[in-house]
Amino acid sequence: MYVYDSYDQQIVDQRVVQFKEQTERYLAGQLAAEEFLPLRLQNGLYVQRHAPMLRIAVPYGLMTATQLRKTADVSRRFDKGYVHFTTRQNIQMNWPALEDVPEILAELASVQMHAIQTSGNCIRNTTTDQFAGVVPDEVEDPRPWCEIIRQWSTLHPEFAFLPRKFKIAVNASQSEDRAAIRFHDIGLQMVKNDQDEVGFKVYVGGGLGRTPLAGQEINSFLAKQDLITYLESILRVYNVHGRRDNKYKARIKILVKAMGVDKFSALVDKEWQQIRQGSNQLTDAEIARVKTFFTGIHYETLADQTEALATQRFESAAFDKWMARNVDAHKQPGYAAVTLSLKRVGYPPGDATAEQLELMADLAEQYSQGELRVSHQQNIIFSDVKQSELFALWQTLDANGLAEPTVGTLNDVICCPGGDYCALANAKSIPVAESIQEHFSDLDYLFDLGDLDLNISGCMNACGHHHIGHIGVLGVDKKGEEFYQVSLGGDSGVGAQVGKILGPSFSAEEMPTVIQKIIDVYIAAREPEEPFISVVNRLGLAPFKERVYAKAN
Amino acid sequence: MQKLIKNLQLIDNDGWLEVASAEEFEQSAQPLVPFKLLDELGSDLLATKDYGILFEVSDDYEALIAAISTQPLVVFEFEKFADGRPFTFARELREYHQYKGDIRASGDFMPDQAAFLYRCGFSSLQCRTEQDAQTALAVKDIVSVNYQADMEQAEPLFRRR
Ligand code: HEM
Ligand code: SF4
Repeated sequence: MYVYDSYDQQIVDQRVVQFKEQTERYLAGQLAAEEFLPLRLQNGLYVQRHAPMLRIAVPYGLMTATQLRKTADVSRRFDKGYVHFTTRQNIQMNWPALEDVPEILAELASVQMHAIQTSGNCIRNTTTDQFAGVVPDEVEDPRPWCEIIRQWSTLHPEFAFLPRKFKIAVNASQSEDRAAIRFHDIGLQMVKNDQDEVGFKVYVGGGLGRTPLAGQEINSFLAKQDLITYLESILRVYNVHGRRDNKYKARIKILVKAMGVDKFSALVDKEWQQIRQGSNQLTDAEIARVKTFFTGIHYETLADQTEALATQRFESAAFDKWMARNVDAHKQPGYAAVTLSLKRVGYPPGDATAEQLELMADLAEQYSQGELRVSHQQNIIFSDVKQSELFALWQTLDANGLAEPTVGTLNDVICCPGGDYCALANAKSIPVAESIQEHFSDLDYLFDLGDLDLNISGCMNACGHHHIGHIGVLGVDKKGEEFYQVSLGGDSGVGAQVGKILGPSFSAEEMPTVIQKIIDVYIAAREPEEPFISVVNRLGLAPFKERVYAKAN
Repeated sequence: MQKLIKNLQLIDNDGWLEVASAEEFEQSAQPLVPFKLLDELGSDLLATKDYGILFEVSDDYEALIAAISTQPLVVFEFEKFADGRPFTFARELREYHQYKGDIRASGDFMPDQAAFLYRCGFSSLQCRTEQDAQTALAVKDIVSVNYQADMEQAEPLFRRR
């Protein structure tokens, strides 16, 4: 866990003072609403359907138990006692009062948290794999690189008024992409070259929203000391050439598409040659300094508990299911990574109450060295649990509704706040998620379906990542009524692709049945063990369409 | 009305006056020439005295670079405070082209942008109102530590910590 020194702390503290002054000026009528807008957005403050919405940064999804407790405390004192974990690994509160925000930020700053650049047309929170640092197959831990990017992008003077928001994600796993890097403005894949040196493959121009596009490669190997100067070059090209006449065409993806990736990368190179050797070139000392913060987890020399776990799984079917879906392999023998599910049926996906946050904080201290992560699937990860303690941890989680054994299944729905909270929504999304979860409540059935991403957004802004769900659901408005458009074949991982629309949209009531029909086609067509996405890729949309739109007889 | 911040002081103006024709250029002691007018004035006339260039975001930046030599002033006119192109323009002018003259922000920028403007190489601010100018001076230094290398601090924090 990166720990602030006096500089980091001073920046965050002074930022609170700055925002307090701006808020006071706004409340006193000395700052026009139009001008306060970008200033508050850069502190994560939207104005929403019911109240302002505050988005708190969780850099690359990593938090301490202390920070989580503070979040619980703040949500209780200034909000309604619950929070929402987002698809970009951040935390949202839906009901704070504008006047309270400076105080909230001051509280957060006391535990090294902030809301800097969590919205607005600037560089947002850099995200990564929720299992970073513990997965067996990663090139190296990506989090130091995320932290280096965080520092570079924080209050960057040149890139605070970009054409549009800008999102960066880093992945280091060699077999999977849990960070959806191809759907970010910049995606960085850590790689090794022939000389065994670590560097980055750089993708640019990915994104969701109205024009979903997978990012394209512009550099197959960027040496690590060049990371910042190269990012700076990309941002410069974007800041000058990105479109500003139409907000829906302002993302870098549109620029890269219009210009062509070759011309774009030539422009980046031209910038880069001028600054590459400059003072922003990273030093070995800095890379080493930042890395030291991510080696703080102390591992005991343990053996894998294969047999003991097998016995426990044999004795408890519920534990067995949880182990199968919610527990992942760890590079360190005797340890495991555990996903706490925030997808209990009947509760909005990604929501957690203050009591749950506090419980998770206690458990993180007891079982996982006081740290936890947020995943872009809107769950919580304990990354360093001893295998010998899995059973005890599971019992407590289960008793508190945090052990829904459905991680990665159809019921692990990614879902935006939708029409219940969001002013931009065309339709509600949470109730649709719920009705589908209820329909598929049979665990054995869910297990049998295996890995299946169901993503739901309440409008084409795509906060719920519907384009890259194996099944995507998008809320649309038809003459003032809420309807849902379904797409199939989206993939956020290594096979990065945007889903294809099935056909005309459905009412909310039809949705569980529609999903069931899609699943029926899958089950009938699959080879043994074949995942849903592979069947969709193999068969195309036709058989699904036929089934779903068949006339009842 | 003191709306100009120069050398961190509030002043009325420092003499530069926007001109709209060759005639006005000839009559002015300190002409500020809209970028689009440069061609029309021609190099012979321009060579007769020091002048400043007034650049709008929609003007051609590459052409500005070609036109820049020893002019003492370049003014970047903000069309809208949300249009951040001048931040990069100023920075490149200093960083790539070693421009040493005064770089001035003018037009629709916010006092809250003052700190970032200075950090990107701006050296004077023609604010919208006197109130704005006072606010800009008051809030400019609230955040006093920065991670990045910029035009006020040549080394990024990581080389200094
Ligand atoms: C409730 C208030 C929210 C508002 C007003 C809002 C607004 C928006 C808008 C306008 C876009 C489209 C941006 C573009 O295409 O350029 C967007 C995209 C996005 N938002 Fe939200 N959002 C909200 C909440 C959330 C939440 C709760 C999440 C996470 C669950 C989220 C995650 C995202 C993501 C991942 C994208 C897609 C990024 C991309 O286009 O590449 N947002 N949001
Ligand atoms: S997808 Fe649309 S409805 Fe959902 S949170 Fe984003 S803007 Fe709101």
